[in-house]
Amino acid sequence: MTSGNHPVRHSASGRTGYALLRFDRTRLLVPQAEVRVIELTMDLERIAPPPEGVGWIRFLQQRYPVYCVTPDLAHVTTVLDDRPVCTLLEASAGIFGILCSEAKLLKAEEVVLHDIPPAMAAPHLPFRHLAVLATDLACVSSASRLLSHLRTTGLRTEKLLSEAP
Amino acid sequence: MSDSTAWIMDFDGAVAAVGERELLHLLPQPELLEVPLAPRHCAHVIAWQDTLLPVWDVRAWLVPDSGKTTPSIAAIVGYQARRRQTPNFGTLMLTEPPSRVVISDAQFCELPEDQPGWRSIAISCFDFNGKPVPILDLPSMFSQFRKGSQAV
Repeated sequence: MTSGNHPVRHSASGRTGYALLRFDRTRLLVPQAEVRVIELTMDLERIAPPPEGVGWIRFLQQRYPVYCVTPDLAHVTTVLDDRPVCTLLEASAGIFGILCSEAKLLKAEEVVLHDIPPAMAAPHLPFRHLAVLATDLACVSSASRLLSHLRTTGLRTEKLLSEAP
Repeated sequence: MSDSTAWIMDFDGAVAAVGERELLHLLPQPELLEVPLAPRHCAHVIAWQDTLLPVWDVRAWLVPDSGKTTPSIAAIVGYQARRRQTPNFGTLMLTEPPSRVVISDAQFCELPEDQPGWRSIAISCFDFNGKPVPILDLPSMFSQFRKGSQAV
């Protein structure tokens, strides 16, 4: 049985800090090291979007697919209201963008991690830890876990497509 | 024949009990923090003494399509999966303060048949004023993931 109730240590990837990504009421923390850039959604190229995506974002002579998720972290093919920010994340499968209500950087010492209680630890969850930020709860994930989860909600892209514009 | 003491708890109409020593603390109107993608019967945590505790909604487990309830009291419970293990903690949401009762072995009875969800979260049952009161199996409830009562 896991201890469940007690704070745990940061993983190696989280020691440099986290990026807080908010999707309406849902907050995710991903390691800062996985954030390539934070752009504005108004810069999204929406013509001929990638399969299952909402558009492309340009970064360093490449453009990368961008996706949008609901507060339940289900992927949708429309740009939802209140998604003014696009965060470009680097997963093991490649780089992709995700539209957020808000994105900001936090130092590791601002974040105290707790294991997900076993009673709510579904096998498919894209996070394994929780953190309380002031009065809000955040779920600690990673770019690869988030991408893997999006694939379980209908994202069928096997390999992320980036393009030279 | 031996007597034991238990706390009877009301979960918005569903009544169950925990052992006397399992109830540790009562918090009125706690702030519930929603965990996305968590099962409906265990969809929140509360912050308590620098830890995060899972919140079990017994009513939602028993009646999966029940409407949203508004329990107002958090009962912090402690349990051990095995003797001598460090205790763990969880939360049950109640609609009323619990009642302390003394029960005897002679009050043992079968689990209520009209709500099959009790079978997977209760370890025993006793008769109290003519009604069956299941005794919750806290280690089982809090130490394993369950999709929902329809899945058991």
